Amino acid sequence: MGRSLTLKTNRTSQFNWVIAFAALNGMLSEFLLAHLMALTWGSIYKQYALTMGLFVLSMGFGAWKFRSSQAALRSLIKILMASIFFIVLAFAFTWAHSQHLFSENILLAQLILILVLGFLSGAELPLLEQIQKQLQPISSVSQVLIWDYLGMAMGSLLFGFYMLQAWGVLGTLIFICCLHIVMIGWLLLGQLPKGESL
Amino acid sequence: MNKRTAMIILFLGSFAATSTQMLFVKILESFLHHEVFCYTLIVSVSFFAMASAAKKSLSETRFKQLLTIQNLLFFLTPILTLALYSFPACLILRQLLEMPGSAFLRQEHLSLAVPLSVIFIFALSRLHGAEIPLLSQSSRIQFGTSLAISYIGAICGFLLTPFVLLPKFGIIPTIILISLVYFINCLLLNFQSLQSVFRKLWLFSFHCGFSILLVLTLSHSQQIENLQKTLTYSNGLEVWPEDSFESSVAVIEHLLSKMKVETIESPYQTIDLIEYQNSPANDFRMYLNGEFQFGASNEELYHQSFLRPLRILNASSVKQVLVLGAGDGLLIRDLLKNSEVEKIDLVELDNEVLNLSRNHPILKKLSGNSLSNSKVQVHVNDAFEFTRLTDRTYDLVLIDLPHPVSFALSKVYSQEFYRNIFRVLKPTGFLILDGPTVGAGNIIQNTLAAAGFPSQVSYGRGNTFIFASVSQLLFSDKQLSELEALTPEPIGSRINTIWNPKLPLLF
Repeated sequence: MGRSLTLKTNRTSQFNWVIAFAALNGMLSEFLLAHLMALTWGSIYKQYALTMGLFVLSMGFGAWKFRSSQAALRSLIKILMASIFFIVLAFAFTWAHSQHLFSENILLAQLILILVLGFLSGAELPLLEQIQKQLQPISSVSQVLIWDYLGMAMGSLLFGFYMLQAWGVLGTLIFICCLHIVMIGWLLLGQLPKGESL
Repeated sequence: MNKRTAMIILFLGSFAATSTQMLFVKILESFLHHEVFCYTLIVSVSFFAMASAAKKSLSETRFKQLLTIQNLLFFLTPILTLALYSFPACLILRQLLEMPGSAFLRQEHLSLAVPLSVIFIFALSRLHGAEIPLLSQSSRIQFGTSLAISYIGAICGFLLTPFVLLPKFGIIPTIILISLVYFINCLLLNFQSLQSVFRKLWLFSFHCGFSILLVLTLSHSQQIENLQKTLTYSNGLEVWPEDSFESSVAVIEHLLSKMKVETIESPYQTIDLIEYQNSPANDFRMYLNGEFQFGASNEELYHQSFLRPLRILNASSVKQVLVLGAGDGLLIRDLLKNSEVEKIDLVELDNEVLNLSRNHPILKKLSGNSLSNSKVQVHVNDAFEFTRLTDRTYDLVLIDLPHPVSFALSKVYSQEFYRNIFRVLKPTGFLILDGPTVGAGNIIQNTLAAAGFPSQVSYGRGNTFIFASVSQLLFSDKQLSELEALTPEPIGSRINTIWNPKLPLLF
């Protein structure tokens, strides 16, 4: 626990893509949660706004809580793992509700999961920025923001124009989980061996 | 710049930018009726613009650029948003001036809203996107903190706009309010002291003048929105004389003398009631979220077609009926003509529609005040939830819900929904639904089959109604021809579920 993990420098050029994929994943998760809310409660306009609002609020807390972390890489890997668990849980709750298996407090469960996933998603960006600084000390905030915005834009486009229509809710969920796993794998494989530092 | 001012500007800017996005979604959705598409389009274009702005700001001088951005946001936000909102009305007005009597706005015209909104939201988001890094750099706020503040501003925009501002004030006042938020940001940035006001007196006067103009617009917003709707709903109608109009004012005066628009905002939708005078015949129409529901001149024919299988089957066994939607009471009026019917459960989500049917003088007369009949029990509930939870069973289920033009409405054309209907129908029971958009009929029939209905018949002019029964259909050839049933076409394999929506068709 005490040792701070660091990425190999040969991963620097690919790291921007990790920022973009993290943002893409965050955006897809946000829209998927919004759609699950709309499926349960109707009114896409209001449920999407509610979900995005709560998600962004908890992102703010996440970003603030992890604004300076001693072990950015380790925290990021843990956050990605937790995100997979919670997004699957959000789908499971909604599915169970639709199958009459779970009716009590479904709204509360959904709202808590939106806040938890928003918090985790919000924590990713400052952590990514800290890792970026370790790899490239002269890199700027704007650099991270650019890739973050691009990832979110791609996620938003993909969800509305392709994924929801072609793959449906379940297909999109599987894609999100797979992308999380790929990112975790990339980060784990890219660590410096024990005892080495940049 | 001091940190506190920068944080306030960041918060307000973020709130205003998010509110502008929500407004663009709402306006675009009112033209295209496809919420997910509108949301994802606006959000993605905003992020692309913000990415490009963040990149550019790397090499620019900071504070001066920030001032320009705030000033531009203040001026451009109301102008571009109002331009998008009013462009269909402007198109109709232009057509009327050029070719009187032939104004007709097609879906292709409305689709122009897509490139327009992309360009406008890109411009506004690009300006906003440059704000965060510039403010961060100018005031030396920690990156995580500036993100957190901007997220908190965004949540206010996401929640206040759809839940408070739009339902309470409407579109135009919300646009003005957002612009005034930018005005505060401009004041905070431009005029940090009294001396700076005198130093930039011309700019200060210009800002104040523009704000007064916005407040004046606000005081006339009701009339502007009414005029906008009158122009939009005159689309394709013969309410025009052959003579050409001399000016836009003449067109507007003529329209206002011929049409009366009444708007009711319910928690679920915008209900527009239009009275047309001196058209081929006086008419009365209802629109929900801009989608045509019925016109008094031909609704009777439509509702009789809806119930045609009852007459052809001579269905005396139909005693318990469930009606989903149709809160206007018109379908119930015709159903009550069937004396065998003992009980009707009407499920309508929107209480405002029910109130109109009971209290609006024209609608009450049209529906014969059918909702007050002792056989009718009204349930204010979601059709999906009602059929999911009810223990009652019925001989007939009539589904008169809005067409699945969006993912939200696709839910009530899904396999899960039809399974609920199958469950509440008696073994001899059947359902009739008003079929939706072109090209969706096969998917609905597949979905009904997947939900357990052994066979279906689509009938009526344009194949718009679908009849499905719990047991095998018993129509004879003569009955089928009376129904105007069409020969079943080869059916594909696509079915619509709530998890994998297939019905909504992009324009």
